[in-house]
Amino acid sequence: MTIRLQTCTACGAHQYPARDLCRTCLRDELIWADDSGRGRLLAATTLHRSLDPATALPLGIGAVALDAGVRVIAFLGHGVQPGDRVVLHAAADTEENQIFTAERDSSDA
Amino acid sequence: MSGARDYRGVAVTSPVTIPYARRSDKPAHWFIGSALRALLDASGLEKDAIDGLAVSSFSLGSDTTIALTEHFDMSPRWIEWLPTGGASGVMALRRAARAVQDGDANIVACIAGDTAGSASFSDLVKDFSRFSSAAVYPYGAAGPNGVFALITDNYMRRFGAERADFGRIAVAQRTNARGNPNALLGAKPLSIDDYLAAPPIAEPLHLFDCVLPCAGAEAFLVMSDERARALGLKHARIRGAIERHNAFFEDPLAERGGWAMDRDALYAQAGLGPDAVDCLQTYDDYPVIVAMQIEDLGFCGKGEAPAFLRAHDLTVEGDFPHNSCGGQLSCGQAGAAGGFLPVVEALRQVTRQPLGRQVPGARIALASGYGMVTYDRCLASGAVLLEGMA
Repeated sequence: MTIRLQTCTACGAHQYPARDLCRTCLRDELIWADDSGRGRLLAATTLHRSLDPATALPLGIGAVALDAGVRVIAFLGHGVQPGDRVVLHAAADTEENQIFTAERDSSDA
Repeated sequence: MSGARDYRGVAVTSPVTIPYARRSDKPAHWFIGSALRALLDASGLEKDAIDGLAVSSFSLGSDTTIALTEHFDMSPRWIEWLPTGGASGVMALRRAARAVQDGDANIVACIAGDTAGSASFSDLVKDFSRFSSAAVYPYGAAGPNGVFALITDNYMRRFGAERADFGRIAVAQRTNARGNPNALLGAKPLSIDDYLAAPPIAEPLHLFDCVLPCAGAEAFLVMSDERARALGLKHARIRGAIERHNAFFEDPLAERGGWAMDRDALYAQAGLGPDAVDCLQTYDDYPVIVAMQIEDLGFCGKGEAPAFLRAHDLTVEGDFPHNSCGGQLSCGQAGAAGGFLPVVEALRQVTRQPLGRQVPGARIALASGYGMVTYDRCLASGAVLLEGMA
């Protein structure tokens, strides 16, 4: 399972959320590259209120530091705890609109 | 250090507050214009004497400072627009002070005001920034509560903070709000048991960790100290001021703010240290951010705020007077005016013009700001040391 991550072919930097130029070298040489989606869950919250009435509550979200060097807010899969190694799964219609869920990384036993 | 020149010769005067309201049908223009009128009333100045205008707001629609000059029939020779929320009070003060020092304006009105309609807060959150629309809002549409819940959760894990530590901040501020007629929650007592028993919003955040969005305005004047004296205005001088943007952007989660980069420059410019501060006015959008400011402004080390909070009394009469008007947690968050509140309250305290209770003997006040959560943390931070000259 992989996600797509905006990557600079000039300097190799990864970035998220998507930008229009490389955040590091400012060059216009960005591609969408496959990434393992692996990282660590740093913090989690259970939401009990939402500004969108359609949101099903309670809802778990978390902050993930990807090994690729970017930080991502993601939905949390069952039983994932801060400190856990996780892998992101993406539901998406386009690369820029990937919606991530962090699941425990079973390959990292 | 930065080597920035000092703020000699500049006076900050005339703290004014337009009463907060939970909701208002009046647009932000009304609140900002009312604050301008209140500044004239407080200073005895005619509108024509105001030749500089700095404004901060989130709810002016397509208008900015320039449009307001037409709304208010003004012809200033210097204007500034500060779409930087929680940091805009310190930023307006710094810019206005330089304009006065350089002669680009004689008297600058610094005003922040916002309205609050039934949908205005959720509309603001939904389109707050490109990053948050793309990468935060889709995850439960929690607004800032979601992001600051993550920051709080991380802080508690890293540094052993407990909910009761943050509760001390909220409870002390509610005590401080007593007697402040502008504090929307000032009449509602809050005990630590009430705090701990509150319903969850975004765990670990519960109800009394979150501010009440409201309408209102905060404002002050900046001019030369010569002019302030001639006008007979109680005023403060600026001992030091800093700002920093997108600090520590490689930190995986916000554990510190820009103050940590610049506090040495702040105290060096002021020629004093944290021990000389008589009252601290922080930007209290969430208690964890107060804890960070206490650390990053040098009152204790990183991660030591929980112990500091257990060891100190943050009420007006306590040994560490903090957010003496009740802060946003008890007054409400009047949009961008929340970013002016620390500066205005600091000015009120050191010039003996509190809305509520006076910190005994306050001469030096430190006000700080923190604003603009465009993704997973606030980007803008600032701080100013004011000394009362009244």
